[in-house]
Amino acid sequence: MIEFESVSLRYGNGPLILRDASFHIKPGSFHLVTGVSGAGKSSLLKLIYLASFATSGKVKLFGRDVLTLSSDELALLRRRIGVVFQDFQLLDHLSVRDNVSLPLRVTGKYGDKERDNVAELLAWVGLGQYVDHLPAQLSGGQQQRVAIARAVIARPAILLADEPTGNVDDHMGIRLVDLFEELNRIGTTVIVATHSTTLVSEYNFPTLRLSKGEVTDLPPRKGKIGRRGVKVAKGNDAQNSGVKGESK
Amino acid sequence: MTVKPIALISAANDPITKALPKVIALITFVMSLLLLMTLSAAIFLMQLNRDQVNELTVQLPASQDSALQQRKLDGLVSVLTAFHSVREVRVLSKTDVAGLLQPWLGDQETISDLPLPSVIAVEVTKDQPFNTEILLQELRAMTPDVILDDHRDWYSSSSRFSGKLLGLLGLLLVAASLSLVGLIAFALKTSLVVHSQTVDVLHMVGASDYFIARQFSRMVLKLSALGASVGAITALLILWLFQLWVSGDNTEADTLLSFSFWYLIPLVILVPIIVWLAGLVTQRVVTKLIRRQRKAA
Repeated sequence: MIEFESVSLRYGNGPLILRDASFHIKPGSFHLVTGVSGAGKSSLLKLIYLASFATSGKVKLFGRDVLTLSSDELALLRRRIGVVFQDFQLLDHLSVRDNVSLPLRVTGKYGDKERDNVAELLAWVGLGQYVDHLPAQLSGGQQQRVAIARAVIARPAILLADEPTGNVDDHMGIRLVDLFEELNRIGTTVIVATHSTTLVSEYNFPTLRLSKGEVTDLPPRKGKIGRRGVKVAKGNDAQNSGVKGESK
Repeated sequence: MTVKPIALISAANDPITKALPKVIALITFVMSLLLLMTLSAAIFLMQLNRDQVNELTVQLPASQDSALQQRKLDGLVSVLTAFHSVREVRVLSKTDVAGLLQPWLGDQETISDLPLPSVIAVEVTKDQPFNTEILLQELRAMTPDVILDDHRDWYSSSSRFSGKLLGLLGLLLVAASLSLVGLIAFALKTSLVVHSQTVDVLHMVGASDYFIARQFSRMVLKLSALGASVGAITALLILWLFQLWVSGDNTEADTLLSFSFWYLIPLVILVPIIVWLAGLVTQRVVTKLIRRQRKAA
């Protein structure tokens, strides 16, 4: 599903952010991306959600080399990827409902049924009574949930979360990752970038560890995959064999 | 059923929201005046030419011998009357001639004391070919010093002049349109910086470059519709006030600028053309700028 072959990344004439990174993430897996601040976690995610492109090497998404795609094809590919940012990236002038409905609006298929789906999803993340509020009227945690709802409303095949627990306390962080696990159980490939040691020790997932531009693909520790004591779906086995299909 | 679209690009905090309608109003105002002047000039010249194109003037230089002058005049009239394609021959009275010379020679009383040339106005038929050279030969056979003034020569030179004038006004209209395009493109560069976060988010959720450009187009269409309408109405108002000011002067400017209901038609057409142009430019410029930004990334 996501293949990196000897990928290097450099912004302009700056230093190498990623050096010769190679890994393969199969459908239905749950990966953590770890590393200290500035290690290049966000840059790695940007390469996956096509906000930037490799300086050298090859990035393949859904079996397609992203450098060979036209701008329209890139847009179509992005529709299969949901992203949750640390700073949420909500549009301040749009209501909660309109923010969440963005991925549906850009496809031109936003009707009454989809509008109801948005309301349902917002109710599911506990924001049913805030649909007409502006983001600025919500707390950080609530905004986080709006960002998550926006990321999953179009049922993406891949969900990326960049430091989702960065602006919330540990308890809320764990609740969020539990939510991502639920999405993973229904087939979504989830990649969470974090520098939180709490999160890394609390969960047992395969991990891409970044250090000085190098990426190390670490298998999960021995024992159960996922949160300690939580039953995890078969698809998240140590080898990430991709037994689960993509969400439609 | 599709839910009503919303403005994904916020007009608030965007400097072009205030600046663009004003700039478009100004350019539309200038374009409206140019367009109306072009049309007025074209109509005025057409009318003038239509009146003049079938007329000739035959002039017999002044003579001290009035009897001889009259004989020559009668001879010329008989030649003219007999000439094919001549429909009407009219000898201008001394008063008419003095009236024609008044702008150069002063008041009529002074002119009346001077020996005046005799002038014959000739109208030819429109539908038959007319050879001025043959007529002149026949007239000179009768009176060698006769002068034939063919208004069609004047018509020909005035046509060339009016063609050049219309061309110049057309070029000015094109220049104004290009200025409009340049200003919108410049404004959009600023606007894209202001809305960079929105553009990034829209890209991230899978919006195509075309979709994003359309959001900007919608905003610019509204702003340009407002600006263009204000500009066109102002131009019309100014022209109407000017016409009121010069009315009654009985000058050619009075005729040239006479306000007409028909002036509304080009303006009614101009406004949507400007709005369409602004939308088209926005769509193209935004798409191009977004692609350039992606290449830079």
